[in-house]
Amino acid sequence: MTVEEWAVTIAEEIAPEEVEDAPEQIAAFIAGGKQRRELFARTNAQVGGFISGDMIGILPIVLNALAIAAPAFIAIISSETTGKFLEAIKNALAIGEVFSKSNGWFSWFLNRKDKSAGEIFVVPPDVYARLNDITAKLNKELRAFKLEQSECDKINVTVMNLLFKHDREATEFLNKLTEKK
Amino acid sequence: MKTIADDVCQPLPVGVPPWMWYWCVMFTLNLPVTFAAWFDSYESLQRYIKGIEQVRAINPDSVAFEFLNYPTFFIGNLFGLFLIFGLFTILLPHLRSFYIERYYDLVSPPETKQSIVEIRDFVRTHAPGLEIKSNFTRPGFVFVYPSGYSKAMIAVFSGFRRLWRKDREAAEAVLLHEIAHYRRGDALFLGPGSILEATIKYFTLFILILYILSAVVQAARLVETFQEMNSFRQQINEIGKQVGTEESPSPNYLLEVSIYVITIFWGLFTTIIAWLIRTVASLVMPIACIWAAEFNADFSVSNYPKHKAALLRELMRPKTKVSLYRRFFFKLAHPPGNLRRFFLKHSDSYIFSLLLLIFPLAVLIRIVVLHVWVFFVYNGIGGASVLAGQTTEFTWQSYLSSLIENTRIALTSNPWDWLLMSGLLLGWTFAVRHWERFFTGGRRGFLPIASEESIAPNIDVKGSSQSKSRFKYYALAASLTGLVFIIALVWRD
Repeated sequence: MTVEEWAVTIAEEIAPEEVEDAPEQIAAFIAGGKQRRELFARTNAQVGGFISGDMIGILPIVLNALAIAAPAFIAIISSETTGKFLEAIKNALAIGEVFSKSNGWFSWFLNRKDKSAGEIFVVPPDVYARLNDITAKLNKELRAFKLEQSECDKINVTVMNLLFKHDREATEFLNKLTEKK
Repeated sequence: MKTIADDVCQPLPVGVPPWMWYWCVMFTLNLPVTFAAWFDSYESLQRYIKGIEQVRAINPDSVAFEFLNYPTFFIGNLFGLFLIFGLFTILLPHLRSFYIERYYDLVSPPETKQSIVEIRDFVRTHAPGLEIKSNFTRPGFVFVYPSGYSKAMIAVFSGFRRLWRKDREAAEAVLLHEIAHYRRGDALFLGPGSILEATIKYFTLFILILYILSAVVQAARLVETFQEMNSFRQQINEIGKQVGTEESPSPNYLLEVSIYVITIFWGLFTTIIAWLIRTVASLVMPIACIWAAEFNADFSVSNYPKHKAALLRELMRPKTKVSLYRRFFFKLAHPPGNLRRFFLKHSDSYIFSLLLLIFPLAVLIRIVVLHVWVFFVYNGIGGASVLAGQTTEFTWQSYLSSLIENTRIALTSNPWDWLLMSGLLLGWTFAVRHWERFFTGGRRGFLPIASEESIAPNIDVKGSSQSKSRFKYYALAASLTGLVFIIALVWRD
């Protein structure tokens, strides 16, 4: 997937009304500097034109959160020891179990029983710590833009699903996000 | 649905008279008085400098940092100065357009995007000639800016395109609001509006710093003087002890210094409050004009029931929380949401007359604010009265008689203003189409009220019948303003 396709896919999942803007916004984000800062520009009375308050889109906020959490994501995706666990995550996300438990979904997931094996799923401690780290980082960045916790959870699940589903291409995408500031 | 020819656009309701332009003309005609006030301030400053020089001739160390007080002589004229500068920007719309497009990185949007085509078509239906420029990487909505004397552009940002996708009717209502600004010539006032905002934002802080610095310097010098006096008294007491005379009682210097320093800062506080009230008085008229234009733009959707409902919905939408400081500046440019909803909801009742009277009411509100200022400054409240050189004792009787006299002077100094306002209210229903034609480059579509239905019979608009029925509201507003004119004429004699 190209970066534009990544942006469009993420927008389709979390903010469909931003799909049209997605290619321009990802280009501005990757360009960094003034162009990236403009995505988060404060809305003054003139540009607001009609209503007060900032009007930053969801997509730039998610891209920003992903850029912050990117090293942790890349580490977990590229680690061979977490291969089996990654498969389990992908399966769980794919069958949509997680979506019905958006609040506190992560702890639910880690404590769930592996239905096929009938055993308690054992999470390697280092993997648990890394996933926890990613969730915390994403949450912190999303909450900084005053998003509701339920919305943060939904975004969290969605981007994890997308990134783990396309884990090979995800590394390149995440690297692009972090290339410039 | 009838297809509308390119050179004909849908009619807007008559709405509120262009008070912004009225005030601009009156302000310009009043410029000789403004210049005279500046000259008076300059003369006061000269007298102050001369006085300082005389004091310095007697005791060179007695005065310092007096230059901190110089700008305070012109504080009353500050807004007038910047408004004149702002009004010049009306004459240079091309320069304004150049600046705005550079500042917001606005470009012509690609016609390949579906939403752009839809937005452009909608705009062309209601305002042929209004072109779109965009920046979809910047958060924001839409605004109209001038690109010539009878030409304008509409700037579209990412927030607006999101709304276009999520709630089409609300987005169209917002566009109608902006289009109304263009058709009524409000776009040309973008420059003065920005300069007014910048003046309040930066110069308010500058003046506050000046006042505080001046008070701190005064307090520091006072403490220094008391220390010198204290040391002198101690020396006298020492000499007294040596010659065997009775020791003079030692005063509580700390208490004395504290009382004087508190007096200085109380004076500073009251001076700042008085200045703030004066500033509010200076801002009442420009804000009333801006708000009138905004209410009018909201009112432009009142003939379209679906858009009216959508606009009310949009005005009720919870906003992201912003600081009090940012909210204050937003309120300068846009009336509070509750008030906007109130007037939009009652666009077909006598409350509409109240909306028409926003400017004449602001004239009266300004007089009330000036009364508060007079009360504060000239009737013995703290340092403000000292600064103004007022020494007479305050009594309620003298205050009330001065209040009545000041009201009489304010109302009767130019009674013809009230007649003009009344005439504008009455004549606006007839003049509006010519007004719009002028600001939109002479395009048709700004039709006589009676022919609206015959031109666009199938369009979802109830323009003509509603405009006719609203005439009574204009008549009521004109009558009330006319009544003030008669009162002013009678009271003058």
